[in-house]
Formats: sequence, C-alpha cells, structure tokens
Amino acid sequence: MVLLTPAFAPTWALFIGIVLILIADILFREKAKEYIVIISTLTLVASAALTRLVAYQQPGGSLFLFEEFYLAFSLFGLISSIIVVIASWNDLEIELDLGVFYSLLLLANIGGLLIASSQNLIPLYLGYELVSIPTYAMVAFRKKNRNAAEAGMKVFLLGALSSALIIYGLALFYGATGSFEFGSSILTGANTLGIASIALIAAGCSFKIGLVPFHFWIPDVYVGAPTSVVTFLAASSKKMAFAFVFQIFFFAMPALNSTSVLIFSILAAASMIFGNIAAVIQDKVMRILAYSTVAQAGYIAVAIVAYGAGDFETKRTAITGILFHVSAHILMKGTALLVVLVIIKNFANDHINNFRGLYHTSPILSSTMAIALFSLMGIPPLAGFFGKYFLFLSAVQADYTWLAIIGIIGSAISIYYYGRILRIMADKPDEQSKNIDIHPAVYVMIILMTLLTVIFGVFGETIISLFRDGIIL
Amino acid sequence: MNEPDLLLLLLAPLVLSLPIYLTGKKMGPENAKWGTVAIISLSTLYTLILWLRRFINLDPSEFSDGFLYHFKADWVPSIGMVFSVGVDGLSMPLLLLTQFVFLISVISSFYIKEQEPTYYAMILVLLSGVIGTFIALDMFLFYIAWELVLVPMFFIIHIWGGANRKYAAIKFFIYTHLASLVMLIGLFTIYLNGYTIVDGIKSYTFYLPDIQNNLAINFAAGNIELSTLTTIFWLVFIGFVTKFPQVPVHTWLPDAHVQAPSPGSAILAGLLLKMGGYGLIRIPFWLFADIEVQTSDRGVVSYFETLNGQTVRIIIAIIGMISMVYPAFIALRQDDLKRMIAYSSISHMGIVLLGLAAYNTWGINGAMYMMIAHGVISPGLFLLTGIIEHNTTNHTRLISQVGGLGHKMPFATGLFVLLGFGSAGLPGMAGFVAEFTTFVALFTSDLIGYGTIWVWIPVISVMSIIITAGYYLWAIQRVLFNKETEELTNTTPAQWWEIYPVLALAFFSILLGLVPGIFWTVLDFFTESILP
Repeated sequence: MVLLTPAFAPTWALFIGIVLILIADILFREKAKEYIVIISTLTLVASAALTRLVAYQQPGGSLFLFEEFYLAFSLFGLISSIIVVIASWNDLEIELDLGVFYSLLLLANIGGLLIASSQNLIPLYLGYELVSIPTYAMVAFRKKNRNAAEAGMKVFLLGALSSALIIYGLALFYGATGSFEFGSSILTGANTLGIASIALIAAGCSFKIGLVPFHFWIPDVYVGAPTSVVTFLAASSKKMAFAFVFQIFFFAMPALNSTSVLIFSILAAASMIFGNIAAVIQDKVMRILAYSTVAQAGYIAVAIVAYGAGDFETKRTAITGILFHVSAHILMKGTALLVVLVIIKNFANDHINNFRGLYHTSPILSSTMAIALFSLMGIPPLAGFFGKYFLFLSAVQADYTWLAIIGIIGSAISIYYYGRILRIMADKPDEQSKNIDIHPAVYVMIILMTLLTVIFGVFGETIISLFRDGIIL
Repeated sequence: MNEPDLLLLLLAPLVLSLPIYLTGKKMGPENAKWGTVAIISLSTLYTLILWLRRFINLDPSEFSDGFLYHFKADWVPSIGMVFSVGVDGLSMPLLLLTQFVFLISVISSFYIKEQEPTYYAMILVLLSGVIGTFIALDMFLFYIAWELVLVPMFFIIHIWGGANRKYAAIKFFIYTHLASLVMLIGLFTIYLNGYTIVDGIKSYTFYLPDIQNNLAINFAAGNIELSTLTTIFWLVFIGFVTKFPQVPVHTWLPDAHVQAPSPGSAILAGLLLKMGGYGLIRIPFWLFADIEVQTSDRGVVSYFETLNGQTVRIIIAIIGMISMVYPAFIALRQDDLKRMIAYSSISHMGIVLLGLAAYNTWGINGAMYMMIAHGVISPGLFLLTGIIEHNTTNHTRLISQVGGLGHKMPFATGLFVLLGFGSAGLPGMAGFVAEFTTFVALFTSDLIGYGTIWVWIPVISVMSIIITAGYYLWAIQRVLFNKETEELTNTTPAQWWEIYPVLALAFFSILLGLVPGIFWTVLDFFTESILP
C-alpha cells in the first residue's frame, strides 16, 4: 500500500487535522473558534514541514513522484492556505460553522498534495475532484443568502460540467495512447482522438483557472461567497489548479504540446482582453477584483504557452514567471480582498464610493490597498511586477510577441480601473466617510502581506533557486 | 571597485520619505517642509562635490566599465540581474540638473498648504525615481526607477493639481505606462540578444556595459540580424518618445503640465522629459556604439551609418521636425500661459531628436546640451506662471485676463522677459548654444549626402524658431506690458521663496550660455566614446 508509506505523511497530517477539528467543533461548539483556528494552522504548518522532509527522500512508486514539482506546489498551496485560515478568523459570515469550513479547507489541501505528486492520470484526477468538491460547498456556505445560493449553484453546475469534460477528455486520451501513464506517446492513427481529448481537458481546466470564456462563475462567486472563501479561491485553489494544468499538459501529454499551446494562446489573449475591459465598467470593488483575477489568469496563461512552445531557456523563464506571479498574486490579491472585507464590514457593501477619502480617514489601510493595486498593475519594484516581467519575457523569448503585446495593452487598460480606486481613495472624504474599525489580527495580516509585496524583489534569487533546473524535464 | 556614493544619493530620499511623512504628521507640516529642503540641499551639495572631485579633470584611468563612482553587487545572479549604478559624461550633468531642479521646486512649493507631509514624501520618492533612472546600469533597475516615477507624479497631479486634474493624472499614467511597456518588450529583445555563451549554455545579463560588449560580439559572430537592431530601436523609441514627448504621442503633456501644481510642472518639464531623452541616448545610441557593420562599399561602419540606421535617423529627424513646427503653431494660439509653455517644451525637445539624427559630435552634444538648457529654462517659466496664478484675484493665468503685470511685479516681469527670450533662443543664453550647435551639426551631417532633399529638414526646423520668438514676444507683450486689468488689483511683489528659485534658474541659464565649457568637455568625452 503506497498510501501507508512515509511519503504520505503530509497527507495523513492533514487528515488527522480534519478529524481533530470536527471533534473540537462538537466538544466546544460555541467556544471552539480559537481552538479550530489553532488546530488548522498547526496542521498546515506540520504538513508543510513534513512535505519539506519527504521531498527527494521518499520513493513514490510508479504512481507518485516527490521531487521539485511536488515540493514547490505543495508548499505554495499549504502556505497560502495558512494565510486563508488567519484571514478568515474574524469573518462573521462563517462564524457559526467554522469547524466545517476549516475541515473542507484542509480536505482541499489533500487534493492539492495529490495533484502535485501524481505521475498517473487517475490519482491526478482524484486530486482535482478533491480540490473541487469542497470548493462547491464552501461557496454555498451562507445557505440563506440569495447571492451565495446563486453563486454556489453556478459554481457547482459549471464545475460538474468541467469535471465531466475532463473525464471525457481523459477517456479519449486513454483511447489515443492506451495508457494512463504520464508521457505516453500517441498510437499511430490516433492523433485526432488526442487533439479532441486535449481540447476537452483544456476547456475543463480553463473553468478552474477562470479563463475567458469559462469565467462566468468568478464575478458571482466573488460577490456572493463569503470573502474568506474568495481568498481561498484566489490564493490556494488557484495554485492547485495551475499545478493540475502543468501536470496534465506538460508532463502527462507532451506529445500533444502544439495543440495545447494553440488552445492556451487563444484563451490567454481572450482573458487578457475581456477580463480587463469588463473590469472597467464595474462599480463594485469586489467585481473589479473578480475581473482582474480573470485578466491575471490570462497573464499566467501566456507563460503556459511560452512553456509549451519554447526551448530550455524559455521554459526556465516561463516557470520563473508563473511561480513569481502565482506567489505575488497571493500577496497582492489577498491584501486587496482583506481591505475590501474591512470595508464591507464597516459600510455593509463594497461600492466604490465607500472608498472615498479612505486616505484621510485611515492612511495605513488605504496605503496598503494602494500598494496592492500598484502591484496588480505591475508597477516595479512591487511583487506583481516581477511576475509580469517574466511572464511577458517568456512570451517574447518563445516568439509569441503578439501575446505579450496583447498583455501590455491589457495592462494599460487595467491602469484605468485600478487607478479609479486609487483616485477615489485619495479624494476628500464626504459625509458618508467614517472611521474604520479593523480587527487587529486582520490588520497585522494586511500589513505583513503589504511588506512582503514591497520587498518581494529581494527574495528573487531564493525563489528562483528553489526551482532551478530540476522542474523542467 | 565599489563606491557607495551614488547608492547613498539613490536610496536616501526613498528611505527618508517615510520619516518625513511621519514627522510632518506628528510634529507639524513645517518640519516635513524644512526636512525635505535639508535632505535635497545636502544631496545637491554632495552631487556637486562628486562633480568637482572627478569631472573637472576627467581621468580615463578612474573609469571602471566606462563609468565613474561605479557600484556593482549581485542581485539575482541566476538570471544575470545585478544592482549597479554609475555615472558618465551623459548622466552626470543630468544628475546635477536633477538635484538642482528638485531643490528649486521644493522651495517653490511653500505655497502648498494641503496635506503637506504627503506632498513632501511624494517629492522624495520622485527624486529617488528620477536619480535612479539616470544612474542605473542594470536594465532591470533602470526600468524599476523609470516606472517608480509614475506613482508619485500621479498623486502630485491628482491631489494638488488644477481643476481638471483627475483626467490629467490618469491620462498621464495610462499614456506613459503603456509606452513603458512597449519599451519593456524592447528591453526584452535586448536582453535576449545580449547573451554570452559559456560552455555551450547561453548566459544572460541585465548589466548594461556587458550587454554593450555582448551585442557587438554577437553581431560580429553573425548571431544578430541588422533588422533585429532596428526592431529594438523602434520598440524602445516608442517608450522614450512618449515620455519625451513628440508628435503624435504628445497629447498627455499639455494636460499634465497644465493641471499639475507649478513645482510639479517644473519637475515634469525639467526632468521627466529629460528621462526620455536620456533613455534614447543611453539605450539605442550608447548600447549600439560598439557594433561594427561590414558594408560592401564603405568598409566598416557603425549601425547608425548603415542604410537601416540612416533610414531610422531620417525618420526621427522628420518626427523631430514636425514636433518642432506643429506644437509651435499650437502654442501661438493658446490663451493659457502654462499650456503655451507646455507646447513650447514639445517644440524644444524636437531639437534633441534632430541632434541625435545628425549623429556627429556637435549633433549629440547639442542634443544633450538642449536637455540641460531646457531643464534650466522651462522650470523657471513654469514657476513664474505659478507666481502669476497665485497673485491674481481669481487665480487665473489666462493671457487674455492678465495684463500689465510689469507695474505690480517688476522683478518677476524682468525674469519672465529674460527666460522667455532664453527659451526663444537668444544668443548668450543656454538655449542658443544648443540650437546653434544642433543646426550646424545637421548641415554637416552625412544625412545631407544621403539625398539633397534632407536639407529641408534643418531649414524648416530653423524656421520654427521664428514662431517660437513670435509666441513668446506676443505673450510677454500682453501679459506684462498691456494695461493693468482688475485681476491684478491685490497683487503684491512676489515672496522670496517664489522669486529666488527662478532667479537661480535665470542665473544658470545665462551662465550656461556664456560658459558652455562647464559641461561641454564632459559631453564631448561621452560623445567621443559613442561615435565611430
């Protein structure tokens, strides 16, 4: 039994954590909140530490591999989940069922570990479902809220559809190769079957990453779901989805590289254009951030294209860009979402006018928001810039300059809507403005993440050296 | 050899901006104001000392990698990123100008009474960005500094600007950011072609002196096409020319200059435009300097002397010519004094392009001298406009409403006349030296041999100086010497902090006109290094 080997210690740690949380929830009921937060954090930390120990040390058999890729993506997923746990500490919307919420979150992380370590399509798909299904429940968490119900329904229906597409694609892939092994070659005469399979799988994946035209659920979920869930979707769920895309397109199906490159270049271009244009006309900050997520996913997809199309050097740039951008995205989007959460708490909604005069009523909060927005724009030397820099560089390196140009046009459009929030924050306060109350834990979290956003460039070498050559095969 | 002097100049304002903000918040805005003045005074003094120490007598043995006060440290070695700064004959005069214009602008900002701590913190961040652009020797660092300038300038226009400031701020941001991103693609292309091959593996670098060498080596080895160099040129040209700005990408400038507070306009005109000119000389002209092209008929020539390079130069000469003439005509019909000076800035920057197109010693010297001269004269004019605006009853600067200023503010009037003439190219002032050398260079350039039709470029451009003189004289006549209007009933002579900064600028515009040798030898030294 491969599941009982030490290689699965991180997974078991998460499993034990889930059980402990549910027990604590039953035992302490009303007072369980602090215990649950502490248990979840410790579980994630323990799992991350075990991941570090297990990587490179344990054999994974034919189905699993515990090396660079596993280490990088599981650490990303686990660490961003820690941020989510602390960020949702004080989220009133989910206070009553915190135990259930956190156990779902840890369950999704088990799926993430599975995705990152798989060397076979069956466990890979299991991991994908383990990430998806808890997400549906989490989005629909506020059962009695109309918006949440709509968002939950939407994400569930579209999610189920995407799973079906992926399953069908995998079935066709089996038909084309006769194997579920990674890197199997296409049988003679089965090329069309392979292309059909990769198109179906790409559609399914695009749903999860949120690429146009599979992005419709994102704005609704951002508005309807509790903000903690949104943070989870933007931070950890997204990392796992990208790990899935990498695994499936570049490790599992290298033979069909050119088709997936074509598909992703179209999806990336569409996302960068539509995501940015749609964000311009929004008045709710949450929806602006939702569409900006679509655009950011488009930028990352540019590097997926470059990774598939380029030579060794290009692959290295592309993977650097993806990892930089994905980790920067946790910081900057996380900060922005937390600030919106604070605003919603104080003003009951996230209309952009509620930000008016924030610089005068709460200089620190508005400064953190401004830094997060500048980072999302890609202004150096903030975290978001480094990601974007390598993403576009990889596109130029892979001779996909047109994608980089679409990207920069998108970036220029994005200045308008991010700049709109900045301008309103810098304006004079009006009668609606008031002093903002912030929970100290959230405050510390926001400032910490902003500091990391600012000094991100200092860690450039550390992040790059984590993934040097090993990850590119 | 690593010398930390420039590092100090670069980082001190950035690091001190937060303490200045907090001081202003907790201990009263006066402290922020004087603290900023002190910081910028000290850094100006320090820059002056650096100048006196090495630039009076240039000693080639003190240069390391072609730069003085050179600093280089590893940053992200695996992708060839270094943290490196240094100055040469191109950047040092601009660095000196930066410090000086910032000092002047901060003193002229004393009228600002709103959110002072934030204002002075923004000014300090802006200073770091501008210095960084001029001294960065790493392409990555250069881009960071280049973009960093946008953020404080956006807020300076947005918070302390005029009536239509919101529109102007976002327009400025989008225009220049989009242009920088196009430039970024150009920088990518440079990065991807500036590799060395070590043990069969391409090793990339962001370090500009290394890229300069590698481009020449890779070109000689046949790994770079001539057309690639042209592509690089146009990509970075779009980025720089928008900041510069030239027709047809100039439309952000009148809005930004007019809506920004006067010290902000002074910094925009005096320095931000120069960043474009600096980038244009540093990235294509300096970076391609070592490339040698074998031609069939003329032997070994540099890139800008090849057929491709000559076409490039003719196109930029035409852009420069249009940008000199067309904005001059627009300036002629402006009623807003600031808008008129803004268009005159575009017109003057056209001369820089013409000088670069000439591609000989006098041409490039003239282009660089134009940047310095314009950096001294135009901030003075913008600050004077600010003085007029603050002292009129309805805070207006419309030429049609202000008149007869000479009776009320004789000193400011005198300075306006002086600087106005200086901007129009009066002999004896800085602008004249630049214009004269540039036009001589154009007539002696090899472009003339390329086809006699190109003689018309300098001829038409020279004509635009007449229009420049026209709109300045007309404005001077109407604003200063007409009958006094009721706008001026409460006007008193200007405050010391309003007028002395302008006086200093006027002094330097005459000094640089009479003794161009102060910078000329240094500029010559640089130009010799990039010309074949």
